Amino acid sequence: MVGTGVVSIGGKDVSFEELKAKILEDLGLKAINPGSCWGPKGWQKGGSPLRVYSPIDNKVIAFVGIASRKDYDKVLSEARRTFDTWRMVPAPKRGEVIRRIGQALRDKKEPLGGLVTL
Amino acid sequence: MGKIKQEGLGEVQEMIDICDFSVGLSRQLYGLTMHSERPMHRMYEQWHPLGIVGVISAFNFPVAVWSWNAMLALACGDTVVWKPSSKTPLCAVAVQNIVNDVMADMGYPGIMGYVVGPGSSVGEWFINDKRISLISATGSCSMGKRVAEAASKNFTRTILELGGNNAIIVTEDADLDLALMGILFGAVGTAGQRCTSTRRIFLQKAIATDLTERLVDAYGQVKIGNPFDAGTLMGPLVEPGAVDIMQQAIAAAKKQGAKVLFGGERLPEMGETYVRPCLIKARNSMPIVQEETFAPMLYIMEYDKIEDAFKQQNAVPQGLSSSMFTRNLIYAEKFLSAKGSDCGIANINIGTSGAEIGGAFGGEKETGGGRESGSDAWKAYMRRQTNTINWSPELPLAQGIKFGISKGKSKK
Repeated sequence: MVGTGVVSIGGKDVSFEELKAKILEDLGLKAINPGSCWGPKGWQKGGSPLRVYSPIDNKVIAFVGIASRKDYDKVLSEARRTFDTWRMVPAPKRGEVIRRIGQALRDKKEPLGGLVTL
Repeated sequence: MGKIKQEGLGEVQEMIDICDFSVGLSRQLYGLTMHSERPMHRMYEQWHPLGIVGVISAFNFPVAVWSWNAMLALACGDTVVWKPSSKTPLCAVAVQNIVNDVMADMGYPGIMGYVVGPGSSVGEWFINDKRISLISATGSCSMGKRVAEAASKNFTRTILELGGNNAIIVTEDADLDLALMGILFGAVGTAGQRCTSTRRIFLQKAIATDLTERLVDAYGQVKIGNPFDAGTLMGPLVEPGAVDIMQQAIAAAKKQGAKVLFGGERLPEMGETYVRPCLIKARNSMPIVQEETFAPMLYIMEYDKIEDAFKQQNAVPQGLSSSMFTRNLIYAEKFLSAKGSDCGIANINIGTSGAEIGGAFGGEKETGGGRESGSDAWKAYMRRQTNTINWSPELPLAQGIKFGISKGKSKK
C-alpha cells in the first residue's frame, strides 16, 4: 500500500506521516480548520466539519468547517465594504500588495507545493 | 490531490508567475483614446474596478487557478471571495494564511476571503448573490451550465472554464520522439486530470502502428506510486469514485467497440485510488469518446487525409486545447487558421497541456468561452467606461442630428 512506508525526499527517507505533519505545520494548518475567512481577523469556524482526504493513502488529512449562511454573509459584506476603499487605492499601489504576496508565496513554495501534492 | 511533487511545485510557481505578471499589469491598465467626430471634443475610455470577484476552483489545480483570477482581480481593484473545491479546501486555508499576513502588514484587511461548503448550499448562495459582480468558475460542463443559468438571472458576469476533450494530431512527417513525449505528458501527467489533458490522438496511417507500439512501450514504463517519490510519474486519482468512473468509461468503450491496448486496471495492492493509465483504440464517433472522462485514458484514432483529422478533432462538444505534431508548414498554418482548430488553445509541436500564464487561458463551445490569466484577460475583471468631454462653446450632436429650440437670450 502506498503511504505506509517511507518517502525519499532529497535523498533522505521520511515517513509519510512525518511528511504530512510537517507540511500542515509549515502552512499553519490545524487538525480542524475554519470554514471561512474574510481577512486577518476574520476567521470563522463554521459548522459540521468536512473531512479532507489525501488520495495517496485515502486517509483523512484534516478537517475544515463548512460556512454557515451567517458566515457566508459576513465574508461577502466585508468584501463589499473593503471594495469601497480598495478601488480607490492607486493601481500601482495595489501592485505592491501583489508583489508582497508573490514574495510570501516564494517563501512558502515548498510546503504549499507539498500540500497540493498531498 | 495526488499530483506528483514536481507538478505541485510547478503550480505554486504558476502563482508566483501570475503575481509578477499582475504587478506589471497594475501599471498597464490601459484604455484607448478616440478621435471624436465633433469639434473640440475628446473621447477616451477608462477601466474601473468591477466589485467582488467570486472564484470557484476545481480540485485539479487547487491553488493556481485561484491565483490566475485573484491576482488579476486585485490588480484591477476588485476584492476576491474564493469557493474552493470541497475536495481541496485546505489549500484555501493555507493560502488565506499566507495572504492574511501580507494584508495585515500592508493595512488592507479584507481584500480576499474564502468560503468552504458544498455546491448545494454555499455554491448556490454564491452563484445567486447579487453582491458578486463576476463569477469565474472552473469545473465540469454541467456545473458551468448551472452557474451560467443562475448568474444570468442577475446579469452577473461569468468566466467559465469547463471541460475539454483535447486532441493531438500527428502527421507522417512529424518528429515522433517529440510527439511521443508530448502525448505521454499530456495524457499521463496529473493522472489525466487536467482540463487540458490529452484525451484523443489522431495518427496518420503511415506512422500509426509504429507510434502506437512506442506508446504501449512508454506506458509500460510509467512509474506509478507515491507522488512525493522523486521517481514517480503518475500518482493516484483524486478519490476512489474517480477510479470507478474510469472503470465505467472503459467498460462503455469496450461495449461501443473500442479495444484496450494497454492498462486501465485498478491497482488494489497500491490502494483504492491507483490505476494503470489506459490506451484505447477507438473511433471519434463513439459516445464515450465524445465525453470528457477525468482519468488517464487516451483514445487512439487513425486517419488518412489531414482534412479528415481536422474535422474529427473539432467534432466534439468541447473546445479547450488542441495540438499538432508536424514538420509540414502548410499543415501547421492550416491547423492554426480560421478553418483549422476550433479550440481556445492550438499548439504546434508541443502537447495540449502545460500552458504558460502569459497567454489567455480558456476555450470555446461547451468549454464555456471564458478567458483567464494573461494577455488582456484582465479586461473581464473591470468595467469599461467611455467618456466624452466637450471643451467647445457649442453642443453639437453626434451623427449631425439637429435638435433644439431657438436660444433665448441670457437674462444676465
